[in-house]
Amino acid sequence: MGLWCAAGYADTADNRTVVGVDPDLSNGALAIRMGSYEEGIRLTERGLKGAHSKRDRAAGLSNLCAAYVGLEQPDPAIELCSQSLAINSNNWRTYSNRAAAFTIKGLYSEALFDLDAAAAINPGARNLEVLRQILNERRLRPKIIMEDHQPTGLFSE
Amino acid sequence: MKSRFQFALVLLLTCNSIAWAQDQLPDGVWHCLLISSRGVTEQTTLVRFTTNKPVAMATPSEESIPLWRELSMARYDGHSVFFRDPGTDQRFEGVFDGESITGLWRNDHSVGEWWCAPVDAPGMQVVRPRPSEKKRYPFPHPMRLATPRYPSQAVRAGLEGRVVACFKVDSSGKLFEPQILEATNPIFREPTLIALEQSDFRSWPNGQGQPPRPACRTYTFQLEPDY
Repeated sequence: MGLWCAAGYADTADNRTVVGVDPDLSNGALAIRMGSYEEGIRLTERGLKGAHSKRDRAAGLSNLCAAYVGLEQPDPAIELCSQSLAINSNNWRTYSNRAAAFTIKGLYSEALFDLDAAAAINPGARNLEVLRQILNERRLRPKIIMEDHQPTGLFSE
Repeated sequence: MKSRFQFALVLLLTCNSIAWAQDQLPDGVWHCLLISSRGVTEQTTLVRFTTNKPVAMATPSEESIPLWRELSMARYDGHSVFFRDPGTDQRFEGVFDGESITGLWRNDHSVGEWWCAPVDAPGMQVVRPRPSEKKRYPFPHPMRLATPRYPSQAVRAGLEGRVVACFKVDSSGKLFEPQILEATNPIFREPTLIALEQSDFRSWPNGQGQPPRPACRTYTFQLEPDY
């Protein structure tokens, strides 16, 4: 489940991870990336208290969302990602994080919707490809239909 | 020395001209039937062979003049004719028996049959060709049905597809000589062949010494969303 947790302290529609001016937000993002979710949540929540810019707040909320995805707690993750998207609806990582949270919850159509939204912003992201594979594995049920028939003569004697 | 060279040259030219004469199909328009590998779909078409010109193909029409589409040049070795449709990437190979042409077409995914009879007049009085009667066998009854494994890689990638495989069944019900005739994606080939290897049929009564029966099986690989 750690695949989709590299939210970083991310900015909007590009691939860059922006290290903000607030050291708690930056350190929180790094901790989440390293898989120390609890520590990342603690630092990011502290950083959010001092975050004044909308951009910093949206990125911090998105990172918190990623941390809760990492902890496999989809409900707070969805709530935080939605708050982040209400501030900045152009961050593909946030959509990706919420898609992951929806996947954990088994809400596959919602996950697919967010995944498509993320892919529309950043079509080449490897994270999205991996997440789509995981989503397909969970939501698609393989079915094989077998039908016997006479050869048309091609294979007959 | 000079005369020997001239003799060799004459011989070479003579040989070439003999070969040339044998390397030609009779010029003319043929009415053809293209049959898909499963025998499900068939398409009628006109094929025109002209010396030193590419093969041309057109859809038969009683009301309008056919619009000819150029294919590749035909290669004829005195027995079989070969040409390719660059539009569909179908590669045609057929045996000319003096009256009709019968053979197979292939592309990267599938294979089918084609059969042609000459069109008598330029007015396209088309006589619908009938492929020769095929020997029909009672279809062998499946006994053990193995289902192919859906490749997890295909599930992850959201890939669906279809494989048509034909094989023979001997009188004891054993399946042999499986051959993939069509696979929309190569990822489905291996599980299909494994499933066929694990399948068998009911033996048929008094089957001792009888020839094996041909049969085909189509596997359709589908993914259904679970919402």
